[in-house]
Amino acid sequence: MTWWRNISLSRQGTDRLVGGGLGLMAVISASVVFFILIFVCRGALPALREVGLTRLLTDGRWLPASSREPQYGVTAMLAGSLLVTAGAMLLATPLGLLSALFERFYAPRNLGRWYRRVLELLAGVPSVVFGLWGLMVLVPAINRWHPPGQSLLAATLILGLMVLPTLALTASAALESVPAAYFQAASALGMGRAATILGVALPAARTGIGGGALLAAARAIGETMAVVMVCGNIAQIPGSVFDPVRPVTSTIALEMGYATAAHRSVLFATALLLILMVAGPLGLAAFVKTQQKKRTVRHA
Amino acid sequence: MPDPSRHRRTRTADRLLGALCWASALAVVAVFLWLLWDLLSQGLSHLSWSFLTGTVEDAGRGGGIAPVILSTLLILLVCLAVAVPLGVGCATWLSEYQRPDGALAGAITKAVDLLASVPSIVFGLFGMVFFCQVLDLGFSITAGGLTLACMILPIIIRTTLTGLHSAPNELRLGAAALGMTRHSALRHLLIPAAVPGIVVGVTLGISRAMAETAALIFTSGYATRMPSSLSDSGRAMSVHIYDLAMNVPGGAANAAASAAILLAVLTAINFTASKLSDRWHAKAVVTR
Amino acid sequence: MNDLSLPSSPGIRQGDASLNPKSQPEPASVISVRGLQLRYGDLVALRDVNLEIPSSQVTAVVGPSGCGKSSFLSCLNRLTDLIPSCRAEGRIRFDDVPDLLHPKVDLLELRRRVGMVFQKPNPFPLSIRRNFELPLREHGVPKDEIPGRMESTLREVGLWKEVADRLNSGAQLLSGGQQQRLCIARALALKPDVILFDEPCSALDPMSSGIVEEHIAALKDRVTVVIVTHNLAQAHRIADRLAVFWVRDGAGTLIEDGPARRVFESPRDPDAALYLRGAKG
Ligand SMILES: Nc1ncnc2c1ncn2[C@@H]1O[C@H](COP(=O)(O)OP(=O)(O)OP(=O)(O)O)[C@@H](O)[C@H]1O
Ligand SMILES: [Mg+2]
Repeated sequence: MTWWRNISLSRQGTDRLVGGGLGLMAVISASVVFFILIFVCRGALPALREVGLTRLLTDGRWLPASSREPQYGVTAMLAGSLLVTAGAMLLATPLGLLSALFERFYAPRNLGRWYRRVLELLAGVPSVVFGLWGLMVLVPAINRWHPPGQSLLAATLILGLMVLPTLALTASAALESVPAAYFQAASALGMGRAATILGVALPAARTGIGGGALLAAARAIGETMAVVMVCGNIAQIPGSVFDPVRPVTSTIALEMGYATAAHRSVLFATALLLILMVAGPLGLAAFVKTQQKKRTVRHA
Repeated sequence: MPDPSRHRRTRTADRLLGALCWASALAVVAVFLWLLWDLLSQGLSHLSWSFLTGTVEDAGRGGGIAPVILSTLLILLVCLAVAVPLGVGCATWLSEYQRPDGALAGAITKAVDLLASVPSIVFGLFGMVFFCQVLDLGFSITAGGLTLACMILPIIIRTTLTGLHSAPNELRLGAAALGMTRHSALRHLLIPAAVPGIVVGVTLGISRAMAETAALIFTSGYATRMPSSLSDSGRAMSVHIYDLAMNVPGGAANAAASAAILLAVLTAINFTASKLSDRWHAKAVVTR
Repeated sequence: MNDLSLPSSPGIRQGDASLNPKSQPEPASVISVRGLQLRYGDLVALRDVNLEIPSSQVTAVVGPSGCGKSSFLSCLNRLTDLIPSCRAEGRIRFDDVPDLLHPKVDLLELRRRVGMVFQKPNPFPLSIRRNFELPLREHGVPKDEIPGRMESTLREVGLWKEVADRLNSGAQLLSGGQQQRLCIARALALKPDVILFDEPCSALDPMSSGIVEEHIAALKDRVTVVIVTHNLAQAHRIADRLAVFWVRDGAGTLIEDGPARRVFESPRDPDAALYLRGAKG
């Protein structure tokens, strides 16, 4: 065999070809998200240019299809998204946390495992099924109590139920990674179970739990199906929890099918707002994570 | 030194927190059972062999869901045919051809993470503009499948990466020391080592894709005809449930029946995924 | 620095017998290292290493932990290329290759000719047979030649009788000592000129360690052996030549080398003397 061939491990012909092909695939995969941003921005551009961001935020009402005097106020929809998400988190955070504590500390071993199964199953239920159940069961129930039924309350309950397993499972994972030595130390000091959990386990796991909560919040803001089916879809700032609302996602899902011209572009602009709203909690989660990493590096 | 009042306080706190935990766990299970009961009691009575094999009639109030099942499968097929090779290739390149601290690899990882956080309705918008209009695929199974492929790409990439990272470095060193080329080490040693990860990723991807509705409404559409090719519009299961519940008065029972089927299939898939990843972890521990 | 007067020119292969008539005739060196410096990023792991490795002999490399023995070995088959931050400078002549650090060297062929066995046995998680087929096919050995090569090298490491009836079962099911011998056989099957061993016995129990050691010692009729070991008694038993590495000024370097017996009995470097005293006591 010739020795001075102009090749080495990384330069060999086939290796180069395979490497190039895989690199191309990686670049394509990475560019998808940029394509999404570009096309959403492109769709939103006419609205931002002709209607303007100020009008989007200050117009009193949402009458995009009106031919005489269209109004493009998205504030009610933003409020809808934020209210539904806040309500869902308010409901799901304590329940999810207690669920995780139950699974980790209070349930007998086998029962804890079964409970975890239930949570995983619940996490796998498609959002459209949650929505269907809400529409079939929850909305009539609320309607009997306080019409019309399709309401902020219904959306909050369904969405809360939907993000609960995410919260519980991430909290449980965070609690699992608390070093056993902490618990030994707490027992050695004669601390009770509640004191150990509240004073040692939860503080030690707080970054993981917080990260899970932020993830769940991002998911709740971006959720469409479960919400659109039960929220009543009236673009207004609700006066009570029994009033219908209409979050950003529902609006897009309901109107994109027939929207044209300015209306359509405004919908893209709301999609852009949606992306920004989702990026909020996710960015915060990423920031907390890097801070945490820095701290542990400094301690090490 | 014993302090009875302190002791009592500790005991009370323990009991209280315990009661709260039990109560919330019971509440979660109760709601889950309630949901399951409603779906099954409303849906099971409508389930029959002819429901699975019949065509959609009267906007879904009557007939069966055979075209819907077929469309769902075709959409899934397109989605996987694109997402799996692309995702596995991307992960392989990131893990085996790039330094982990390299700038390009870092940027690509960030972009993929970002993609994972895009809400599904935005995928729907993107698919509608890019696949249906720019690429001129129209409302079609192909467009829907491609949209879903974008959506599950991060899942495939992440699990494949985990699989490749779990392949011991001795394999790479050993292969290099024997003068093997990088691609043959990949083909014969590293990709096989990552297969469990890829399989878990594919199952998770399938379950995510089958559960998706918002990304499909504007891409694969609502047509209830039996699809005759990939360029036909086709209605996925989840879209069918949504449409029956929202737009078809009197469609709730068939929606519940479809939901029961979807739930059963998804549960089976998720169960498989968790069993597979359990087995994989157990095996990784044993062989080490 | 060292007592070698061997010229580094690739043309002269006869050794320095004529220049140094009192000592035993030195065999031709198959690898000669000149002014080798190795860096990991900013960390200098090796500085100014000059060493001749004579063919068909066992050269043992010893020294305290972290002095760069493993790094030195991986220069010889360019496994250093796999570590992105790693830079090697200097000249390493290998047989007819004037400088194996040259970027255009065919690495695949280099690694076939310079085999390596690691501290932890690393058979591929495949069948025993596939462990041979994979690298042999890679280097273009015809299919019908492979079983013969496999059998003869497995015999050479005394493994054939133990595995002849289970060639299709997983290589990772073998014991640690068997796995290590399998790795040696796998390296041998490529017909290398040199095999590098990086502490090949330190992950094994004393019994398997002894067996593996015997087989390594027996290899020198066929190939040149370079072995890193922390076990000075082992070096004493099998080495023909000894190279002692040490950390000086924060970087590893070669402080003494020569025929094993001479270096063990009368080391010239005081640190080496101190270190090697452990071998006798
Ligand atoms: N991949 C690497 N990246 C950075 N530095 C490294 C790397 N590998 C080795 N080093 C450094 O190079 C120096 C020499 O390491 P090397 O592993 O060659 O020593 P050694 O003599 O083989 O030690 P041991 O007897 O413990 O195996 C050490 O200071 C080590 O920290
Ligand atoms: Mg070493």
